Amino acid sequence: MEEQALSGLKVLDLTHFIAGPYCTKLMADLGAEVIKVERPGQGDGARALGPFLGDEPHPEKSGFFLYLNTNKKSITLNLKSQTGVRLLKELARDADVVVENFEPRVMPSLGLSYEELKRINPRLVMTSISNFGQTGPYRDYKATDLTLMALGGPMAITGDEDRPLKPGGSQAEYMAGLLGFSATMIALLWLEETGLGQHVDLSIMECVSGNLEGATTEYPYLGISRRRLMQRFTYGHPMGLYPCKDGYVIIIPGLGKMESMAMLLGDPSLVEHELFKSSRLRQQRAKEFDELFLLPYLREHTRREVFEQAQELRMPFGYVMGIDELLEDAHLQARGFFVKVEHPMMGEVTYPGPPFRMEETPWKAARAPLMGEDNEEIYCQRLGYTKEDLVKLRERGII
Amino acid sequence: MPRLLMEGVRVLDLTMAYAGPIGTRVWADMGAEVIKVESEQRIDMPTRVLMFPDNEPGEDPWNRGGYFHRLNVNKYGITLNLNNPRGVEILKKLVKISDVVAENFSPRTMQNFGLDYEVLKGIKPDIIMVSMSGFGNTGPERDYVAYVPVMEAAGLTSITGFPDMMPMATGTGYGDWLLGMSGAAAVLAALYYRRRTGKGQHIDVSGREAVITHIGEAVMDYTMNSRVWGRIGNRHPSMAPHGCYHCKDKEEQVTIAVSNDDEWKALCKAMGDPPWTREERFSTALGRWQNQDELDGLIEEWTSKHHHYEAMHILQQAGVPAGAVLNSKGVLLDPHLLERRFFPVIEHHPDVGKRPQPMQMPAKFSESWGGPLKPAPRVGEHNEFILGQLLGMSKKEIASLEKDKVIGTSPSVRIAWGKMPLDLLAETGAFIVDRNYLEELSSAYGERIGRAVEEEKHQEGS
Repeated sequence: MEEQALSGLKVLDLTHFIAGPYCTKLMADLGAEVIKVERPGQGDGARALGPFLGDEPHPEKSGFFLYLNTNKKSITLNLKSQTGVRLLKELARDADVVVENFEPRVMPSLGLSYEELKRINPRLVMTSISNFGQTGPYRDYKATDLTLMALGGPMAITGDEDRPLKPGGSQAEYMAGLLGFSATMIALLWLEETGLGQHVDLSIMECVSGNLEGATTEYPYLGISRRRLMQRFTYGHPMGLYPCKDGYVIIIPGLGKMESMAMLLGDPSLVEHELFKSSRLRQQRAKEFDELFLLPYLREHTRREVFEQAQELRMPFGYVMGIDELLEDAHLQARGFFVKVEHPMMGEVTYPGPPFRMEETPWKAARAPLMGEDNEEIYCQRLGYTKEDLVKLRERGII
Repeated sequence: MPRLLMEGVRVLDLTMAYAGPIGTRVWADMGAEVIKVESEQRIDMPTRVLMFPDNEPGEDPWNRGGYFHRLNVNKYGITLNLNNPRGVEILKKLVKISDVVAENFSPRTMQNFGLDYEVLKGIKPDIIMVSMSGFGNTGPERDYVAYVPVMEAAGLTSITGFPDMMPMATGTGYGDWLLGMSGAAAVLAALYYRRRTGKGQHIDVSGREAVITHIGEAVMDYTMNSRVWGRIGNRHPSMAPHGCYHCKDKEEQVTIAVSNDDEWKALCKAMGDPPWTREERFSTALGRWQNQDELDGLIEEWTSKHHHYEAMHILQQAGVPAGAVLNSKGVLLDPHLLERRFFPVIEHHPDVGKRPQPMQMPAKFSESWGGPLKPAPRVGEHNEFILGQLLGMSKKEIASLEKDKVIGTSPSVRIAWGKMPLDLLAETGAFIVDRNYLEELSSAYGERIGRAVEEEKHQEGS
């Protein structure tokens, strides 16, 4: 088998829903062996989240779950039983990494705090991803992607004048998954140097607040807090999304590029117009500028025309693509971005590909596991239990 | 003192603007030695001249931009003219003693400098090189330029917005953040691989592709069910109530997300059980979801009697997920983030003073850390240190490089820079302007925030 970046790394994955599973997906896709521990019965809560194939809820047919759990193994284990905790400790003895995203009080209440696991395995790296972190006044508060995007800051500066807006999907969760991956890798590099494991505490709210671009600098340097009009007024006009003949384009002339704007609009002499000369006037009379110059041009041109003409002039314009259009995009196709994955209950389905390409070590796409699919391999072949033991554990509701 | 988390990792950082520098800051935060390379002919624009301390550009505006500080905390800074063969020669010497080279030029630039991966590998066989761009290193559109919104436009923008309006870009530069953070993650994996095998490699990161990996479920719904997601504002495909509500103060809002019957009952109780909560149409999750327009209006009647934090704490005490909408001031002064020291106060050069900046890798590690954060470098601040100490060049050699404009500390680029038009920003309503920000921050952070000169002014005034 071809060597991958994380081949040989053993990850015990106690995560569920989105942030934690995305973190361990990144590891699994790079070759780590990720053993996902699921609750007997329902399994990972993401198995109950849509979209489902054919809109039929089924624990093995959630597109969300399947995407977040590629390349993993699955075992079932009831951590609320003493035997379950004992089995988990047996698995932790042999693991390099444990990742969990329970509420902070849960792991200690199960007798699985970092201190407890460290006693069994001093080289263990344990990564805990939680809404607000393991300490602080909001530690035990509840949260969802929406409330984290509010508290973390993005909603105050995204949206229209009167309505703060959350970005689509579950971005707070994905952000934490990505940073959880990096934090774990940092702890592993340190382990390689020192021989010591450690506990990593990652707060989703802090991942979100670290994504505020310049906004968290504007206040301590200038005493200003952005409102949601920022895209139109902060760094000059025009800048932002505009409608065109067949959809929406993104207009960013770049600094000092009004000459190129005039050329794009087909009249280089426009640079002599006061609204082209003065950026301040342009900001004050933004609407007038749009109606006089921009909108008439955009009405006559398609997204692709605007994009290509602007790029020709080295202006970094873009255009809004629907999800369907991404799958047809010639550039993404040429790069072989999307991948096909076979699954016994789903057939062949197309998935998004890698977030980055490591040219020496391949990224692989293989399907997510069925619930408890690897029980026999892990409990019998790894831990040495017999098939009869497995039957007993199953009867007692432990696996 | 324990070994720093990334101690001993040396990075040659050729990145500019936002995406690259925010990615390399992850390693700098963790104690790696990140050497940022600019040149007198090409400094990192526009970040170096955005957000001056207290709106004062001063004599050397390029050293005072707060935005640059935010992105380049804890890095060393040198200047090297790469259009001069001696500059390229020095860069190659630095490659020889580095672990990672990071760049976010458009794909052909490194080739033009004669510094593509094959060349670097020839100099240092186990070098890790990461290239971050909007479209990636291959493919028909690889040479197109892309800023944040263009990356987000790869699917995310089309599902961000209110159903009755055009799509929206995030206000946070999320596409760039994601490109930088993906590059940072990839290099960490490559360092781990190199530690075990001795092999380096080249990494190609496309911001558009990174964005698509964060909307996987929307892609899956299309590839499984041919359904194309539209825009649903702050709503959720199954939860209700799930929205953002106005509060007592018109600048304040609170978000509430109810995912089950228990949380719904807790919400009703916390609002004082008004009679409408017992209406039949709101008695099931499906009923609440189908009638959420009315439901949202009724909930807003309650939230509009409270401040955002107040509503949030009342609801959280009752067990309902709720979060105040915090703006940048709110985030900087939030009690939870303050207690966890998410914004360390960094002591910059005296003409900037102490200012809090966010951690770029917010994780807390139980056994070690990245060390105290140094301020972002002035243009060419560490020329002598890096060329002298690391490359062993003599003072005379360094002086000759300076004379020939291969290195230097006075940028030759001239573009308009000046004060932020705060009056205009207030007039257009784009910002809330707060005159007492230094006092507010000083009191929250328990130390004097701002320049020493500010204090003098205060003394003069009093």
